[in-house]
Amino acid sequence: MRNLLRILVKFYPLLLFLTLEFIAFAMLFNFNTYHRAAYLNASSAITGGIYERIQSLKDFFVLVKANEQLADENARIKNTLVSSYKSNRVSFSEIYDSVYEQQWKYIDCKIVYNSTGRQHNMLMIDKGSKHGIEPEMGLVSGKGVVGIIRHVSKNYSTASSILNTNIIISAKLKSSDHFGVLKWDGNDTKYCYLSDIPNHIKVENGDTIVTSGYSSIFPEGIIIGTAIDVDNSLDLSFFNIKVKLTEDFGAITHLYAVKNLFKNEIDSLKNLVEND
Amino acid sequence: MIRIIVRQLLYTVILLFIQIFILNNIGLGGYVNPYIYILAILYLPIQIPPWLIQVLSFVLGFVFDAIVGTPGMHTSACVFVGFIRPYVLKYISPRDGYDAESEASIKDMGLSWFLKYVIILIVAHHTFLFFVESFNAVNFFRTIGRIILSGLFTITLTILFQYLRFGKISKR
Repeated sequence: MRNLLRILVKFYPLLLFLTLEFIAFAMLFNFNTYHRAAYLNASSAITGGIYERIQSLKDFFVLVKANEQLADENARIKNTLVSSYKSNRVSFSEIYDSVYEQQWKYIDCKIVYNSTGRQHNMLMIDKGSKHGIEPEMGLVSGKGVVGIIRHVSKNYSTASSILNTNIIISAKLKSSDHFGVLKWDGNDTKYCYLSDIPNHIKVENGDTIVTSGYSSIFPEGIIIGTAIDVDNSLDLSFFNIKVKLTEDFGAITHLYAVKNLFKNEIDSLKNLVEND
Repeated sequence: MIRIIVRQLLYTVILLFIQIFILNNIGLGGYVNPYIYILAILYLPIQIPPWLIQVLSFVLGFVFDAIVGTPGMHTSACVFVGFIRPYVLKYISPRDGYDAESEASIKDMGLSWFLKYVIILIVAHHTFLFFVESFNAVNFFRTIGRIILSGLFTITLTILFQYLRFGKISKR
């Protein structure tokens, strides 16, 4: 304490000088517009630089939060993009005519999932019950038969493609109208096998195989493929015809779901027969 | 004591009067602004304690600022002069120190001492004052010019006043 006092006594002119100058400069900066502006400019240049550094440091620490915010914002913006929306547009037309009553209704759809590498291949299309898809509807493309609808949700449907060992399709020879059963053997996605064709029928390589129309799933005459290898060695009375599929299952995009408008009527009639 | 106070007050009033009514109206291209009022500090008795001279300088600067309308500007310069005056006095003191009753005048201390004293303090005052007034580094050389010209003018006036005051000065 004594030392402090001694120092104060020793340096009191300097301390007094600093005090009085402080008062003088306080007056200078407070009451003179020019000096006030100069003082504020200088001090804001200094403090501004410091604040900028502090702010950049703060910015670094809130980067995580900023990233989250940006991600939220991106998600929100992407939700407004056209590509985020699934089209509900369905184009079909129904014609009412007492002479030609419409039996088949085609609903265009797009594949959203497709498998070819399994034994029970399936595909998914972007239309569902909302658009009139029902189970057991056929799926055809411009090039041929594709599959059969299995399950339907509101907006999507799954289908077994004909590359499914459980699927059997009623098919016939276009040239002779003899029908048989088309089935995939689970090996090569390019070929199916048509069996149950009686062996007295003349079948040549290159004959066209089409749907028979007996199943109430597919209309008659939709192309399936062409016979490439006629083999009757397995069975004495029936051919087993190797069919090259016209559809390339690895590259399907657009399809039509085929709706049989008389399906219920046909099925109930069939049930009556089976119940007899 | 009373005599000294009255005399100092009289000096101060006269100097302020000359400063405000005559010298403040001298422009000369904005370069010559002599500030003779600072002599009120310079004429204070040599033996006056440092705290008192600083307080008196502050009061003088404050009064002058109040009259001229630049709060703080002359106050800061005057306080600076008041602060350095004891050190300057110590620096230029004669070999045998100051007499108790000697004044800071040519008559008492001689011309060369007085010139050193006046030049150092007036240049210090003007430097401080003009830099505070301009308050930026852009007009640095213009400010230096003002300091030199105004300082020369003030010093000349100071010497002149000495001769006016004492008439013919007999060397001590």
